[in-house]
Amino acid sequence: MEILFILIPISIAFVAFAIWIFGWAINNGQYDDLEGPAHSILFDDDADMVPDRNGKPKTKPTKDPTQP
Amino acid sequence: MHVKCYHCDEAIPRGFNAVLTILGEDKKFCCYGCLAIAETIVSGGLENFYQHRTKASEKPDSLSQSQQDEIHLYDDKTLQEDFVETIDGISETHLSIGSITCAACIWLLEREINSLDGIKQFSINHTNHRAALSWNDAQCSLSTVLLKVRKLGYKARPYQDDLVKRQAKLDKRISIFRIAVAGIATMQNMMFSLPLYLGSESSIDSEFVALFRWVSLIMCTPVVFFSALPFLKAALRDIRTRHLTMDLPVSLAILAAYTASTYITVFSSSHLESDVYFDSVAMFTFFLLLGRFFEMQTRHKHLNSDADFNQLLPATARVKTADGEISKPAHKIEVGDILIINQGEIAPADGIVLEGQSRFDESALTGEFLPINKTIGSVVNGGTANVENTILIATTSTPKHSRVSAIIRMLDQAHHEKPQTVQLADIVASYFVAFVLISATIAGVFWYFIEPEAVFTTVLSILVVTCPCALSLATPTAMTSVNTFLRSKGLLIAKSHTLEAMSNTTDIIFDKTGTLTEGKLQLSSTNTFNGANKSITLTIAAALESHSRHPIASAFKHYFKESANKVETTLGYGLQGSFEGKSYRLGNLSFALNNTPAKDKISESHGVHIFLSELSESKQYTLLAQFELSDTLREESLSCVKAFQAQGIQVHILSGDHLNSVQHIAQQLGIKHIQAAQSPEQKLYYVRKLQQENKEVAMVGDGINDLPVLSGARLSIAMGGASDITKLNSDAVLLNSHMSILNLAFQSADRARKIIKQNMVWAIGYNLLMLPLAAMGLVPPYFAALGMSLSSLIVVFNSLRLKS
Repeated sequence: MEILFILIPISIAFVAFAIWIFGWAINNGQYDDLEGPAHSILFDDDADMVPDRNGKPKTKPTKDPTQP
Repeated sequence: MHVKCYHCDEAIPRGFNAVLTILGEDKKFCCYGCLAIAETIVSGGLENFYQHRTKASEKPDSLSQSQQDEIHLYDDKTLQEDFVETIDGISETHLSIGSITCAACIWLLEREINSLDGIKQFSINHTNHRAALSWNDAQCSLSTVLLKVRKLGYKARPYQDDLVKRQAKLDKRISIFRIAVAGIATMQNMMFSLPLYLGSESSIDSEFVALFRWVSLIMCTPVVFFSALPFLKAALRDIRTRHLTMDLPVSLAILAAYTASTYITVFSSSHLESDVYFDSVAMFTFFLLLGRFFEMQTRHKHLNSDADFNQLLPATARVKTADGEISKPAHKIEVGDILIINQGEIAPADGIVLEGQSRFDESALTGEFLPINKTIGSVVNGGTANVENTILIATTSTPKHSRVSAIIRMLDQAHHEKPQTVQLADIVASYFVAFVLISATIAGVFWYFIEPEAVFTTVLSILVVTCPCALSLATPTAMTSVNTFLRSKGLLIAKSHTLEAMSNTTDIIFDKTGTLTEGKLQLSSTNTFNGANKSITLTIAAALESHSRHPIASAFKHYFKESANKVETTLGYGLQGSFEGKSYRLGNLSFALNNTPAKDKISESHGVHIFLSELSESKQYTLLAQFELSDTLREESLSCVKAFQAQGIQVHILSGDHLNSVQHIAQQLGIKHIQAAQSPEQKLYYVRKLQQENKEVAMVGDGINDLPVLSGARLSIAMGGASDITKLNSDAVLLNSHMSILNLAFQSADRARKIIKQNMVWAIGYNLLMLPLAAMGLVPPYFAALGMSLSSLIVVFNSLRLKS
């Protein structure tokens, strides 16, 4: 069990690293919009990509205009 | 039941027919504005918008030529300096987007704007409705984007960062970080405290006990000194101002538990007998922070979204100089500048008319709903809208020192003198804190004489056991439940004292224009003469009025089909023009009949009357119709006022409008206390006087002129149509036009008060029971922890009953 004396400090280092990452993400503005991403994933125009009975997409996916 | 408009969900006026095929079905619209937007959406292939959206869109305003010109002004490079950054031909800016009702709106806008040529990126933040835009200036202009947004039925204007907004953003980021630190530390602490809880003396070596405690201490330290910092600071402030609030017991509990646990970790032998509370400290802080964060989020959400719109003063002005006309940012206007104000524009500063004659809509400033005549020498107030002709004014003040700004400055003072609502929780907390501190001291002194070594542990165990978890949850949980309930009904509670103030109210004061009434002229009746068809006369009137920016014109907007030709305006009298080959006049009676005596029987009641006449072949004007227009009562005003009166609350009307129109409304509603023709200062004085008579005053209003009185009253409620500065300074905002929600809110406030009292009785009762036991050293730590959680849970469940 003496291994705990090494493993626990390592885990503390991990936690410190996680908090640092979190702080970086917040400062980077990634948490400024807490609602948008939850909605936008549902709005993909995929009606034409839903396969028909033969299992083939109706048309080829078009270029997404929101992506530069 | 009317058929509702497919786009904006408003009733379709009778006889109006506009249809478009969307997703294979014929859909109906209430006006050509909505139809045009739907056509734009469908032609862009984005009709899925109507499937995705969860809320109806807002009814669009029509875009006048002068508004279009104003949008084109934003292409001006000198104007752009203030808010656009250009690097290598790519310009970047931020826009505020208005009228967004749901997530699908954002999807629609992002799709449509990104498909324009030259747009690099356009993305909207869902929380604050702010868009980041970058575009290639050579391919696309800023005004193209702004106009496209308008075409889809939304509003857009360049967003200007200011200190307050930047501070708010930083505050939000740091509170998320505080929560994150507390959350991560809570999870880690639980992991390390579990063996301490479950283990027994024999199964766990003392060196590991020490290790786990030290690790918990390390994890907990940033929680106390970083995450819990807002509580500690507030507690210090409380001590300095000698005004005890919940922050003090919360801070005491956190600090006491932390100090005790640290003491045990550092000095005591590593036995399991004495317990550490690091996990409780972290978890307690985490949940409290989370609760405060949600509260802050809801407050900001609705108030931020449209906050940059309907600004009181325009951002640009057209100035006449020796070299011709130039446009200037409004903040560069100087006293003595000669400004050109076109029809439909808002005066950027106070001034005196130099040239021309027109009317100004001063309803926002005075509450008067009819426009005021302005001739050479008249004073024009900044923030009022020109409804008729282009005029020139010489400015007598800069925008910063105009009358509007002066009213806004009254705010601070009024707010300073606002009677404070002492919250029940704070009163209870101050007694409770005092009680706990005194008993801890007494117990300490007592133990000092009996067993000096035990003083420290006993005092600490008292402070920890009486940790006011449940007490500190008693009020916020009940408030959150009621606020969520009321928000779903359409009333946004913005400040925490609102509910308490509601349950104490003795007098409620309503503004008239825009609060009890709709605040705009509406067609209340139509009489036809000489066999004219009612719907045809309406179409003709709408065709003529489409050329006018007068408030009367908007009453006919619903009936608009096509525009009339050769329309001429005779200032102060009416309009003349031809429609489908015939010549018509629309205006007051003598104008419509060209000063010939009327042959038909005409009844004049309250309101504004305008007449439509046709020029016959014999060059005679024959009367076709009489339209009565008035500012009508809101549907639910009567029942709302009656319900307040039945509750025993005095209802007053406090208006800036003339006595006649105020009396007319007061009679319909059965209100006896009325004050008409009041300036903002007089309104504030009226409320002060009532408050000096020990009345608890609530004020409901919408205009800029209500602003000082809203912030001076104990409780203020702004209407949804109010200007943003009014909303931001009110305690609650009515998001729709259903006045009866106010009654519901007052009832809910009473219920909330009851629940809060129950919660407190329970929380304090539990703590009082435990206090003597702890003082005698009879409470085992695990029981204290279990009891604390259980008592908090009971409080939470009791509060949840308010949601139904």
